[in-house]
Amino acid sequence: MKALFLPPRASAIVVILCLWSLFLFTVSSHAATTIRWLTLSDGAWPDSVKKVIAAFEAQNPDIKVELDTYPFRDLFETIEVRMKAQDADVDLISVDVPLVASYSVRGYLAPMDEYFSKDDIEKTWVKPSWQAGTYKGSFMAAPQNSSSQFFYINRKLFQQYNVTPPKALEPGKETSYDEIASIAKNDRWTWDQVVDAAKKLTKDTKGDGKIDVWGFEFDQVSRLYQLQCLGESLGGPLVSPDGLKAEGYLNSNEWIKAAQWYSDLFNKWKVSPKNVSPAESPNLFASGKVAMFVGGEWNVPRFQEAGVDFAIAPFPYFSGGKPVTGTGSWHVGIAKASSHKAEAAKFAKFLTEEEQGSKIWFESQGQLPATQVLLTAIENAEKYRSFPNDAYLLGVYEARNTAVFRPVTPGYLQLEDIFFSTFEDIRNGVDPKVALDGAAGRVDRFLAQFK
Amino acid sequence: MKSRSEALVAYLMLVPAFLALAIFRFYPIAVTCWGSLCTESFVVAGKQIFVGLANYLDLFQDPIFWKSVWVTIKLNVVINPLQVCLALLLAVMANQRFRGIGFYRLLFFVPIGVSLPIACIVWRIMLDPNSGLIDSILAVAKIPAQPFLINQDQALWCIVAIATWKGASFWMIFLWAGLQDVPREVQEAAKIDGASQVQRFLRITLPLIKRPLLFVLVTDTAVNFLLFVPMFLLTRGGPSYSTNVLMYEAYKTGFVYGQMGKALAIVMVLLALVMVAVVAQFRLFQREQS
Repeated sequence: MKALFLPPRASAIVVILCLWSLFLFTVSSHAATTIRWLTLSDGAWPDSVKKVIAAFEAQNPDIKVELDTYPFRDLFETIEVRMKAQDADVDLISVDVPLVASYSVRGYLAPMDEYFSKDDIEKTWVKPSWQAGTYKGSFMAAPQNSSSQFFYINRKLFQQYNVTPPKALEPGKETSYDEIASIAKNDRWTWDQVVDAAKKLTKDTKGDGKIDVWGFEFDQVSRLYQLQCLGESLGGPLVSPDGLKAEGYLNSNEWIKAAQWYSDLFNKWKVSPKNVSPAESPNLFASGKVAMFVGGEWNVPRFQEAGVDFAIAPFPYFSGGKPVTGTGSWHVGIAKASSHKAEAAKFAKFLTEEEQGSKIWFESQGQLPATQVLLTAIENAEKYRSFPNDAYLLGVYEARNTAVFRPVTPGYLQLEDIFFSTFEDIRNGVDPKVALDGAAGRVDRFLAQFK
Repeated sequence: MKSRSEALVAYLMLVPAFLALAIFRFYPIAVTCWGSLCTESFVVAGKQIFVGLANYLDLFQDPIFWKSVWVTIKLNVVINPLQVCLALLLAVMANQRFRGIGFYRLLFFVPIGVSLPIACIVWRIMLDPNSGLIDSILAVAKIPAQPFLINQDQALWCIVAIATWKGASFWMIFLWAGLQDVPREVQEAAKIDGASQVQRFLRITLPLIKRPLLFVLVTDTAVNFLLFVPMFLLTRGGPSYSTNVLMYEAYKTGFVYGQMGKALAIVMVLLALVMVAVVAQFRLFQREQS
């Protein structure tokens, strides 16, 4: 039998190839796992998120987190396309809290019960927040933060035009939770008072027939999150309790009245500008072109940076109705098709549950936290007694007393889109009753598929 | 034998083109057609369930769908002849020969150099009812400020104007090329015979540029039926669904509402409409030729 020996050169090549393969195998088995997070690109969100990622990767060098970011509107559409296609390249998705039910029903999210124990869930977050992330008893999305709504006042414009502002949290003043609670209970402005002041503060300063300073503006114009408070303040929910009917709710007398008021802002009193998108709206207040602005607490750092001389008052309400503020924000969920669920869950825990990650997120993004630890810190720390940090005390008050979550319905995405286009039409002059009757019918057509 | 082998060679030469057509045209149409007969499972994300014509029946009962059909037809009845006529006019003007014509040709080409999304954003700023340039110009002429894109009676025509500003220059290129092929001797002979400029254009130039004209008309029709970018960037189908063309409705149904089966049904209806329009145009030109 002939011995099976290779020529020396060939033998050397085979040995080298074997050693190289062994090396690659060893390296790959210890290479970092990369997880991809489909999330927002708006404002300071990516920068804030990167700070959390840097801290996480320092503690977990074997896991890398990459962001795949989209603007607000585009994010929902991208999630629809990629989750439907069961894209295995996505490990985590940002979930707008009212969509937890919809994403769970349609199989976009993987349950997180094996990564988050029931005890930890109940100890970490306030009940409304973790409940909002739960669907049919399974924990589907972890709360990243909550939110609140404030009434921002441009102090300089009020002084300039000699208009008395509402009682508010102001620069140079220290306050306490009890003082804030007293202002919120006793000195909260009504929408009528807002309109009266807005009329006096809407000015054509250049005399060219065009308004240069507007009296009032909403942050997320025409969006459901922002305007839900109007109808709810009058006692009108948006959909039925089971979330499957809009007729009689979206077009109730309360909502028609709220929508008429909204229309009058733009068409009758002309104290708010038309044709300004939600993305552009905060810039108007930041550049001193709007005297009063209602919007989320995340605007505080933005307005500070812009150098606006502003104060923060409690969110207005309809006289005869009840104060209502928007709440709920983003959660983070594991994509069902992800092949790195354990690693994705590890990062999700760091971001939302662990003190270090959630604190970095809160301090850089400035949104009201959902964790008990941070909310307690806000109530007790000296830092939150002076402006503008005392606004978070107001946020805590509103979260406890006036906050209303968005409707839980599997057709939330359709409801929100139709709501937006309907209120844009109302803003542009369409009769509110006609617009809302049409909208209720369209929403019900979509909700019928879930019955 | 020789002719058979020649025919074989000719067919083989066509194979790459047929393959490309099959992959990029016929296959997507077949997938779309199948997808329009299915809906999505609620149990397994992305899994399709065959439902037959249910998507079409649902569609035909939706008043918003019929509004989209009407808006699409209304848009195309106006924009197609407008763009083709303007393109022809620009082509005739660009085909002139005189000192300084280069500058005018450059002006005609400017809209081609601007992408449609950028053009939409710039026009949106100019049409802003609060501080836009167009309203400022109107104010000089003592015309009241117009709402433009936020008015349901004006929004669609603003989009027609923007798309025409962009499209006329593009289609001009093809017609200009066609005009270059018209023999000058025929024109001069007609001139000598006493034909006026209009008569020469109608009786000589137009018949001789029928092929490029048909190409422009058919392609422009297909492009305008599928017009989407201005609606997406400027109006989102509003105000009051006045700019909600079928293409935008299909996008919203599929990617915003997650009803892909219904969205594909809308696309099939749109395809049928385009085919009807194109066949009608071919028949019209063939009748005129015969």
